[in-house]
Amino acid sequence: MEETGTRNSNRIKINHPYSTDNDGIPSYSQIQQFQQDGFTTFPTVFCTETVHALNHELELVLRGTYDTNVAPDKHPKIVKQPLPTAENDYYYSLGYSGNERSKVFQIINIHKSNKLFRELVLSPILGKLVAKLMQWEGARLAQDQIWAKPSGSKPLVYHRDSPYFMFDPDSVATVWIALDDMDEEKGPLTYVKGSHTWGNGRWGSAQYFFMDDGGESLLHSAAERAGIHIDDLEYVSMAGLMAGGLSIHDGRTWHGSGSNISQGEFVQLEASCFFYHGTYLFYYDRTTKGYWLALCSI
Amino acid sequence: MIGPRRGIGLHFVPFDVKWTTAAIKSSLWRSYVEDVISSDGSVSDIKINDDDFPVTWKANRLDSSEAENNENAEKYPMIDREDGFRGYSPFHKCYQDHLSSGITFKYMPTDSEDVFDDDDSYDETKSHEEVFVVENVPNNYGDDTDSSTQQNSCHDDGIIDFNLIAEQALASLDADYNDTIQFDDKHISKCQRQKSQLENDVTEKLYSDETSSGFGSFKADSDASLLIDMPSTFPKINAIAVKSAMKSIPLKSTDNISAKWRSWKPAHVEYSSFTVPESHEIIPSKPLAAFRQHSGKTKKIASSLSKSATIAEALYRVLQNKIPLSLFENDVFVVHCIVTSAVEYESISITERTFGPVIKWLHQYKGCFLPSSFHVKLEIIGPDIPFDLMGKTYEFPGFNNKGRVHAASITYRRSIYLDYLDEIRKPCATPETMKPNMIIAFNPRFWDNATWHQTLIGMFSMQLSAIFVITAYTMHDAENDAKTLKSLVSNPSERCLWSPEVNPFSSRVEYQTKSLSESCYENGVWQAFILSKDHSFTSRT
Repeated sequence: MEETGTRNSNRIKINHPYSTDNDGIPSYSQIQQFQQDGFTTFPTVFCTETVHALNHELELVLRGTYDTNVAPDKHPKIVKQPLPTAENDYYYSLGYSGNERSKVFQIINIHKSNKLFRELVLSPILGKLVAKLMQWEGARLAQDQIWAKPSGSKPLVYHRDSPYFMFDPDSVATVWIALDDMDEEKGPLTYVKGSHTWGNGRWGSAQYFFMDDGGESLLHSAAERAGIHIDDLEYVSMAGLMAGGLSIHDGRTWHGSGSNISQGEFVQLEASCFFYHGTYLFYYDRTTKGYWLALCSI
Repeated sequence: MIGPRRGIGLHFVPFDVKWTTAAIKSSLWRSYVEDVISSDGSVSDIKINDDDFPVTWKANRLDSSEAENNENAEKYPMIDREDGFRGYSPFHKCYQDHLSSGITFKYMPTDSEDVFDDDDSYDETKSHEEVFVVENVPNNYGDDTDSSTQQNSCHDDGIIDFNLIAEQALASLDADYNDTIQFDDKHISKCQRQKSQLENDVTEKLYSDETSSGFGSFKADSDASLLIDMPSTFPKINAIAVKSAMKSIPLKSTDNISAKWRSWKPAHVEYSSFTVPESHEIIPSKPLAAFRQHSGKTKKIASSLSKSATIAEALYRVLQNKIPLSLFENDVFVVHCIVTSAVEYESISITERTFGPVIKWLHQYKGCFLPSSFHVKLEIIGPDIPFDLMGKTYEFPGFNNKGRVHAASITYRRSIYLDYLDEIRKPCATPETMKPNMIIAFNPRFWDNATWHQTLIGMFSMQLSAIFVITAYTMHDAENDAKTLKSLVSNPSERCLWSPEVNPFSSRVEYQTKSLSESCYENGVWQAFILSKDHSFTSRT
């Protein structure tokens, strides 16, 4: 897609060699690797300008500015802080004021509210990569989710995506596009290699929701049920993935992310627990004595 | 460094998904299904909203230049079916009819080219329904019988009206009779009068003896002698003999008829010894003998050797007939086995047992057709290859300098075959991924699975230099495969090495399946094509 200079119009620029016409991407070996590991990465798919533009649009949406006049299906409380200026854009993004903020922003279906994000999610190259990796004849977007973790935010429990999509066939794939450079201290997405082959049984059981292991209880129970010792789990962090790069994982692949400790102060999770309330999986952090929505569940 | 960690996750699903009832449990999806569920409807009937769930990419392997060159593009409408098939298909209307009718149809081959004209063009004006019949109802009354009458003979509740079918069959035979035999008007008139008289007499006799037990339990009158004077063109009908023959038909009740009808199987081609040669250029005499004998043990042996022997025979036919293919380029013989059922290849030991014999035979070969030393590379390719075998290579042990084969290996590729072919055609392809010399698909039933169509189109459009062997369970399957190819590929007959024929190295053990009403055998019938750069190749064995 070409740059036109107009707001929200064709501003999604895709770097070489990613294009829908390039049959070499994904390569055969990458498809093989994906099927073996359950995930794969594509670095620097989108150019820096595109990433900056998307982050700017995200700030607008967080403040309730929707250029389609439609709100996202789910959005956090409207941010009241002013838009970050060019000088302090990075530091004060997501309404960060310098005080610790541990809540993770989640926006569901931002593409309904913002034209640039809609252009992003409809990019044929993404659908093609997914379809080729999953060996589908075509790809349909089921949902998009912004996950924005300000400094100090908590880890995201390990989970799989596929149980949340009630479609037949039940095959799901997730494209994760990094809008920031994924440094280790920011709690990048982490995959458990080969976990997509563990089977489709229900994850976890009630007793595991109260364990103090930083969100890995469900993962461990699933691994044990699959006959895999937790010491043998192979974690692969997306640390090092630069903004504009993306990873794609099979919906059955277990994944999670650590805390964003980028402010230099390790926010220790002294004790926490998970529990269901209604249709949501909640997370109680004893450090902050606060309840957090860990996952939107069935 | 202080800063946020932002990202967007996009969840994709196959473009042709349907809702499941579990969606009602989710606050995210409930609104899409609750109306239908509350009205006891089927969620699978709900059309996925393209605005909320946009399709972002769809495979279309035919790029614009290929589409222009593809004659199918001119002949057939472009199909973009809900089940994911995209391409040019003459059978689309049949498929739609199949979906809408609620009756299960099964494609039946016809001797005559009902829908294809002499120039192989597809005539949209002809009824597509002619090539479909109701499944499980043997088509024993002529292929030209209108399927609409057959549909009518099937009641709404699915019970087949055999009386109606019988009447239709008789009417059809009458029509054939009158159309085929030409008489002058006077002669026809006389024939018809006498025929009517015969029918009336027989009918009268039948119904006069009819008992309350039903139509089929009539009592024959042995005293009556019904010798009808017919024109000299016909022999005189001996009604007594006819009645005697009718008596021998054990028509007890309609239930009995129905049971026999369901269990009826057409006679299958006997794989008798005469189809197997006394000696074979590649296959040694002992394994060859297993295909000629019919004891339980030899049948099992022959069945286990069937795939190896089929490859050997195909190779021999190509070499013997001097088909212009470089099968042993660089002294490597590459066989691609397209896997349709991964169960048969779920372990290395199974694959070794399946293909080991042909490698051994090639190694021990003494003739002049094969190079003095070559490498056999067998690749098992399919999307269902088990994960633990994916990418693995098994080297056959024990080869020495005393034979033709100096090395042999089996490699498993977990991939859709067309994707794999795309990969190996690239200039940057690794030496491990070599172009095939022989591609073999064992019992794929291409015609029954639209997902194969793009692969077939791709295979025939690529500049390969290989023989493509397709086996089938039955002659019907093979003919349907051939017709499917005909609908997808321009002039496949020009590249046909041999049309569907009984495979002398078929399995001898009957393949048990509920989906086929007739006896079938693995690799029972086979055909082969040449995938050559020279499209005008017309040599046939």
